[in-house]
Amino acid sequence: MTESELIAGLINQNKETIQYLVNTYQKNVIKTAYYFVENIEDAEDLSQEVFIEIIKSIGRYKRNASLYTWIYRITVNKSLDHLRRQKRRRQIHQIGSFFNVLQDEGVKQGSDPVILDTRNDDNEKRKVLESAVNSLPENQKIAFILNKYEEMAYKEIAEIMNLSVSSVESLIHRAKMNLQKKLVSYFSEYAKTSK
Amino acid sequence: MQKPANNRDCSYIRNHLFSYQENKLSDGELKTFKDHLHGCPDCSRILSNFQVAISGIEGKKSVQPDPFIQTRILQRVESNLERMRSKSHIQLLRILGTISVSFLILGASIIGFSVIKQRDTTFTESINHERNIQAIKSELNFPDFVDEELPFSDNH
Repeated sequence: MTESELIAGLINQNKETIQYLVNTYQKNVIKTAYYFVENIEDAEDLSQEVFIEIIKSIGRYKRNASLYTWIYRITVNKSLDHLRRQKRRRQIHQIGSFFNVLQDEGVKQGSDPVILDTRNDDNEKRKVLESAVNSLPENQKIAFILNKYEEMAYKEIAEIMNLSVSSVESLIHRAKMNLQKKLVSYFSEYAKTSK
Repeated sequence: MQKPANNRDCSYIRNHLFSYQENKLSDGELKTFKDHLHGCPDCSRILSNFQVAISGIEGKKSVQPDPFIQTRILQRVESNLERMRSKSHIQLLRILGTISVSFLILGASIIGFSVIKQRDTTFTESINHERNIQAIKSELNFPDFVDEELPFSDNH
């Protein structure tokens, strides 16, 4: 099926075309969403939203970028929206817990906080990378994930992010420098405490 | 004999972890890097931890989605489209409803106006008719019996 046929079929909401679209792009969409949200169930749910969005807004698709690029763009935007919602929920939860802590303080006064040390685990070290990636500025994070996880070329990333190739190059470089700094700082601290 | 590690070399290592990992160091840089690692257990430890952390990227790539996800996606897309269609049907019905109500109001107004107009015409015609009679009466000097008292009413 050519891209034009696919687009025409989607505009007409043709069942076979929708099936073809989902079959062709589902794996990439789920994986991209997963690299951002770090939870496969959330990524699968997001992929459903992405396909609905594609069908809903196919009429607005301008052919100045390939359909593949456009689908990636929707996936990245949906994933970032999900992360923002999650962050807001966490903040609300934190506010709630803060008030609960204040309430319980009278009961638990004097008890020391328990810090779980699971850092010896390799998984924990990988989690450190995840949280370091998450703490990157949004553009650096998108560029880094698309480059390192999706193995996309700078040109493709530039098309998805609507930026020049040199801007993408600079974003990825800065992302690596930031990650390096965060990981080194974490592992230096880790080396000191495990001595 | 191993060269003692110094802080300047440590910062060099710590700033080039990605370049080392991605084989982007020149031969000379690679030699400096490796030479320092031999004499600096801290940097060696940091490098090995960094490599474990970075291996998380490869680990993530191997994730496999649920094999039945396609069916789930298609079901949800289909039900969503169905909802969208029924929504657009409801909207269409609403629009049609509004249009028919407007037509009804318009029709009723037209009928109302024409009835009023008809009544006005009849009224004007009857007034004109009355005036004509009055004119004829006055022309013929014909008495208006309605205003006169009946001459024999008192007798009963």
